[in-house]
Amino acid sequence: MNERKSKILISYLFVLPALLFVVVFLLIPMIQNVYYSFFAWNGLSKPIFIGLKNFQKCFVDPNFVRSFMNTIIWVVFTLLVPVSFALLVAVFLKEIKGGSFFKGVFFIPLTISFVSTGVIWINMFSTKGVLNTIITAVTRNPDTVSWLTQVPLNTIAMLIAWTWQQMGVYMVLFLMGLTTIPQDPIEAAVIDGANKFQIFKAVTFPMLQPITTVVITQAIVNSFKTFDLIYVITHGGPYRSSETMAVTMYRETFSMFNMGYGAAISLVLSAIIIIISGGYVKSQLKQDLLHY
Amino acid sequence: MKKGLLVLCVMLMVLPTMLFASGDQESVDDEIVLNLMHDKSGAPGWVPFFDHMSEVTTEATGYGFTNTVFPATDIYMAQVRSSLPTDEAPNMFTWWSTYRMKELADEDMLMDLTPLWDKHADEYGEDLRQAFTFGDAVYGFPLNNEYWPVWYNKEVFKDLSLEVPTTWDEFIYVCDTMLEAGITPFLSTVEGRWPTFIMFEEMIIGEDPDLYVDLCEGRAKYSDPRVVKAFELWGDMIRKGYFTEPGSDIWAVGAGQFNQKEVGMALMGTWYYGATLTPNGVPEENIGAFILPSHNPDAGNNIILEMGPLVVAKNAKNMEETMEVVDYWMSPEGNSAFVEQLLSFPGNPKGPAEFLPQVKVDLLNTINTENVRLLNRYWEATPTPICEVAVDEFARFMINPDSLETVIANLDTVADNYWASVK
Amino acid sequence: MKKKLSSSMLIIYTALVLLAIIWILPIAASLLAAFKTPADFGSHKFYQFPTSFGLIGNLRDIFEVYRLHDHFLSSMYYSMVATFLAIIFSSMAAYSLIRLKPRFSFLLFIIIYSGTIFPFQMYLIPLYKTFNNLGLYNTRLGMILVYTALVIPFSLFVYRGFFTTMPRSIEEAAIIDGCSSTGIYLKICMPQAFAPTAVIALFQMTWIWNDLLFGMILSKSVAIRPIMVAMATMAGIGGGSIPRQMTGVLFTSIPTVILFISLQKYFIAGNSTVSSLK
Repeated sequence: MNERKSKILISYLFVLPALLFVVVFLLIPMIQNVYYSFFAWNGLSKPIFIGLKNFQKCFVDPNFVRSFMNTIIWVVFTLLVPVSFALLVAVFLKEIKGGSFFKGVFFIPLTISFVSTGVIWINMFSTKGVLNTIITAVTRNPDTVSWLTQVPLNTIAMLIAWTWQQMGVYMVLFLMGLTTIPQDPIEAAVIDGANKFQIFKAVTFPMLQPITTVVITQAIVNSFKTFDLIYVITHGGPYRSSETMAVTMYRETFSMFNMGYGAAISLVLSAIIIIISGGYVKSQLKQDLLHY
Repeated sequence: MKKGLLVLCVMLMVLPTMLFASGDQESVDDEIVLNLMHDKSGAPGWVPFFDHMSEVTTEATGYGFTNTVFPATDIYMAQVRSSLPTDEAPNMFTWWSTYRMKELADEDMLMDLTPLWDKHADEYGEDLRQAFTFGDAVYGFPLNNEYWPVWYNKEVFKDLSLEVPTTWDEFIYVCDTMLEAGITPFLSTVEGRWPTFIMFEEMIIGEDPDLYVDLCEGRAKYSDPRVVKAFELWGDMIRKGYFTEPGSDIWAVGAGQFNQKEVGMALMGTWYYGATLTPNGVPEENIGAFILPSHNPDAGNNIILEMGPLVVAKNAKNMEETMEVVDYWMSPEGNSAFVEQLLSFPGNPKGPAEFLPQVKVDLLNTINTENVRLLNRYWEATPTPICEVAVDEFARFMINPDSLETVIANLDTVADNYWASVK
Repeated sequence: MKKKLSSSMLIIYTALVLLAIIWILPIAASLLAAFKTPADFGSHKFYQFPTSFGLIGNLRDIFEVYRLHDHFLSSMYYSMVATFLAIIFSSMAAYSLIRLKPRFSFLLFIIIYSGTIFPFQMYLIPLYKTFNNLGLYNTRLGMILVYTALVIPFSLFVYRGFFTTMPRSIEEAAIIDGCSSTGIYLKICMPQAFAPTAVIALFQMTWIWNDLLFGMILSKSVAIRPIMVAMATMAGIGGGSIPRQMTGVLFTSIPTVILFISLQKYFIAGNSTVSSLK
């Protein structure tokens, strides 16, 4: 009996440090943030309680609506481009011998910080930058493309930088998934005379499904949270046209000093993320129950 | 038993962290070191300038200071604002004049420097003192003064046999001649947000300086016909191609364009000379400056003034020592010792300024002798909440001048809301 | 049949090479810029080679004016210590949640895992206030604590996945031998968990090294600030100089690139971590 008790005690003691860190440094601040969202507060003077007004403002504030739409563009684009590129590249790399050079090339951007990625891509997109230099050299026309000031081209431009940075991680995840697929069904399909595309469609892709779920959830959550890259490249501008929700939240809090409104936006954003990743957590839960 | 071992293990790992951490905190010794916060990052960063100043004040007063730079203005403002009520408040920090300073003064976060202003009364003029007075106290003092002329490439003017324009028509002639020669007249950008107000304020003061002041202080509306007229003129200039692409880099790349005669002029503060033009290879003898003529002849000669104030946080520690340093810094020698490195105009008008390049000396002479009216920069002259929205609206206009109606409507909305909320 | 195969290979290679060129272009352009003087950069096309060797001058600038080397060691220290602590704490927690199964283990997991879900900006203002009140603002301890807290959730997630799929047979034998839970964790589970540990070390050290936001908000002195804050300072309001910033990019990317090269075999080649990410 005593041993059982000590075992239970140990099981909690093992979780305690991690739990404490998360509760003290993340959970409590989050709850404080919820509290702030009910106030009008400029960071200096006394906060004034205004109830749900900050949340109501979200629906009528054109800046919030636009940033919400931009966030949706980010999510959709992330699923369409970096994720599907990554899947394609992973399948290709599986086909060829000695793909480690390519793996390295596609993965290197991930080790570079967002600040650096921002600087690198400002150099690419600026009026006299790399891309425009190439474009004028090819077209022999001095007209340049305004990558970062035209709407919605600026968002697309940043999504290109995002793809450059993020594709590697999804590629690695898909590669890991591919190595776990048993070869027998594929060989059977080859004997049946199926071509590569048919094999991919009928065998590989369905068997990749668990890892695809992970990648898609990750991709969605990450693109909802995008901040650094936009902050470095356009600051959300011009005229707030390329903001996403995370940037709007930051702008309201740190440059407009609408602390309460910023807190409210972050709550709305979190709610959306929770709803989306909720499905994933649920599947985790099911898996757990199956395991035991 | 084993459990004990584990706990011990963890302790052994955490303990050195704690020790390391505490050992690295600023050492406690007798010497008092003050601190200063600023956001003058980028090129050139002001960190070495403040370091040098610290040596100067140590020599003069016995107290030096460390300086901390913040990489972005928004994060800087947020940090300063939140530290002001605490004992983490910086001794000294750079700030902006007028409305941006008033916010802090209204919340009682700034140290009253009236005694020091009294002491230096005969060095600073009464209007300068007024500019830093809120309620019945004077806060902060100007580190440096910067005027906003048109910088031009003398070679371009020589090649096209142009004269420095003194009227609006001459100015338009200069621009058109450049355009014909394939040279873009002006560097201009929306990148970095704030540079959008530059042409706006010039267009308004060129219409009527009183209108500009009224507009900034809420007595005129953005839909005022004279404001709209100024906007329309600006829009024509944009459509004619007087400005570089809205996404241009007006710093290193811009200086390169200026140097290679791709661009003829840039309207920028006097700091642009030493911060951007010369460090990027523009020869000093090629740089000239003139005051932009007013498009409305009745507006007279006007130029934008940007004051760079240093203020003292009320809650900071070591106030006595801080005051000694500030006292010295306000003096002519102290002030000049700092601005000498920036090649700027001293905030103390009595400060020696023999280090100024000739082009700046000439500019100052013109301002002093030709009855030029000084007006505060829009960034400081209008309340921050309006300015933050306005710079984005100006960007919208610069990218698409046809959006004028929307821009005016949005500006009116934000200004009306703000002025209604403070009344 | 054979011919068809090779033509499809050709397509694959061409596509990969094209994509690789797109991926290398920004890096190549940045490297070239780092070797130019600011004046050179402003007046020449990006692909032209520098007319004078600017790297030395740029390096001098990033060290003398922006003091990047001062921040280098701090950031090293943060990423190593915080990742180390996170590895200990999260593996302990994961082991307990999966193997010892305390009550509410799934709830506990969700509470800790929730740290990966919310946007980080949400924590900033409250953390800043709390840190000021506790005297943790602008201290190494404070930075370590917050970084540890931020990387624990993802680390726990990886370890949990790994321990879920790790075979139990060895452990069961050990239990019969009378080995305690602590012993099993230390002697059996952790030695087998090398691959997920490598993955966590790589991702989390890189994350901490690359962090800008928390470093910017929770520290202010040169001795405490992490390196990305200094890096961002170079692009500040006065407008940065691209060659100098690219030199900074180069300098600050060295540790993470080395880390990646030395640890890549654990996650690119091996499939032992696959299970952990499911």
